[in-house]
Amino acid sequence: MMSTDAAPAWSGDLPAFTWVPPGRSPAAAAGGAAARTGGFWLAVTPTTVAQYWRYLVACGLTEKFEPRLHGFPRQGGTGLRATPEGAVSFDEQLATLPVTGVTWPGALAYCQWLSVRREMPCGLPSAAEWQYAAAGPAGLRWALGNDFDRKTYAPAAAGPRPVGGSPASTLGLRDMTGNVFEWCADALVAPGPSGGVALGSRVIKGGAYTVRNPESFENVTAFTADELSTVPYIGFRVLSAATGPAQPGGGATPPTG
Amino acid sequence: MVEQPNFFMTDFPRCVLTVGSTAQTSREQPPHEAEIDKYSLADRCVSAADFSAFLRDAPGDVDHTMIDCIDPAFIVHRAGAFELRPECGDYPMIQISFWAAAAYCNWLSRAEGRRCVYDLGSRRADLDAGGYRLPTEAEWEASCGAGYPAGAVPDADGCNSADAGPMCRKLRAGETFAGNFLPGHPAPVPVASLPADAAGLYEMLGNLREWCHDRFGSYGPDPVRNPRGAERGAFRVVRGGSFIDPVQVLGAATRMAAHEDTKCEVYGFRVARPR
Repeated sequence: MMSTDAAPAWSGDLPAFTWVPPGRSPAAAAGGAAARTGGFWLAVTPTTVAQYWRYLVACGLTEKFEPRLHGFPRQGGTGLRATPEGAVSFDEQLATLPVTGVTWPGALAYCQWLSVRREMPCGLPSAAEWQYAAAGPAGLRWALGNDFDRKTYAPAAAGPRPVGGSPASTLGLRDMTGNVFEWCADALVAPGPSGGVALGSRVIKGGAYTVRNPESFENVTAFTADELSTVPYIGFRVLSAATGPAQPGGGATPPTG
Repeated sequence: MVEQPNFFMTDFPRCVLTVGSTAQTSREQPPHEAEIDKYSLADRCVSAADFSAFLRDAPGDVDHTMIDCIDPAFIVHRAGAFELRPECGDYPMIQISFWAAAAYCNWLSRAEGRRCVYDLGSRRADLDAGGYRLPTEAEWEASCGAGYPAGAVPDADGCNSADAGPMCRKLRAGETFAGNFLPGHPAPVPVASLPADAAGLYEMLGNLREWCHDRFGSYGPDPVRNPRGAERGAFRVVRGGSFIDPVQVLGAATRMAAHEDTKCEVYGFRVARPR
């Protein structure tokens, strides 16, 4: 059990990671055969508002509007707000919500910043990696089991809820099922000449408070959304390329910077 | 200045009709007599361009729990605002809940100085307010029956069902990647792109299941006057079938139900108002 005295490791200013061991990962969303993965590190939770805010501050992005990276609502409620002057404002009491309103390029930009900050290669998981991690060693249908339990997996909500509010998966991952969708690396490509036509959308996984059908939350289910979407129901989770679980610094997470 | 919607209101007289049928499922039974007052019904579904005009004019009237911008969708949300995707304006508005459709009706009412029918806060409706609203299912059935008298059915190229003919399929959104529908996959066709029925209405059968006002409930055997649906419940009637429904289940009497918060690419709507 998690100690109630100290803040959980995943609530820090930078994402905490858990090791996803090697195995056979499912076929990619765009087709192709199942492949073997050598294992990778995956963030325990979706990137939080506090973590994204720290990045904005570090990069000097709090005072100007960057529509390619993100778009936040004026009225608040999701942790970051757009001010009338075009700046970004941080609601500290909502710091543990998953950050939303970040576009796919915006999520990637965060990963690139984190790569430098942590001196470890970071990116977004592919849909196959996401699905493999969510299913865990038992190959579950949803991250927390094979019987859809709406109250636990996807409780009714009008907005994102603080990360870590639902139980951890076998691999220690939280909020894979429900809460907010998560951007994956894969592009939506329509069949066509010379490898197909990219339609400007990216895969999102895991379901969100805006959808209802149990199938929408299944590990195998992949939706896509316009990659410049700024909506309060899509967030993202960072993957760090494998260097193995015996990472320098040891323990359950890679070294902190 | 708000641009004019792309639909036209068609007047229907007071009528007495048999609602329901023994031809499909138990949902349509028992057939019974209904008397309904005169009304006007839009000749086509609300288009993505129509809905986009509403979102630009009154962006605070809907939130993200009422409209979904996940593919396939004709409207996306970029840089903090809803945005019509290119070449998508003529397709019907999809991915909206019952209450998003209700919000659109209220916006039309305000524009014409009519009293709003829907209260989105309390989720109540006053159908006698005189404003725009969703058709009752009896109105929808009477209108569709007028369009397809004596059980006439549209031909395969005139109805975007799961059994649509090749001419109809060519019009589907996926053929141009509109809304990120994909080629060869079932998808809606533009509003009023198929021939009108005998009542002058477009795409009543097929294309999209249309939100009706009524909460879904069982029929009774007794004659009714201006039926407005069940008193309680979260499921609303949807009518007309869609591009994923087989043609043999489409008909004026066929009933389906959908949770009122559902947003899906097979649900759209057309508006009604009292005459």
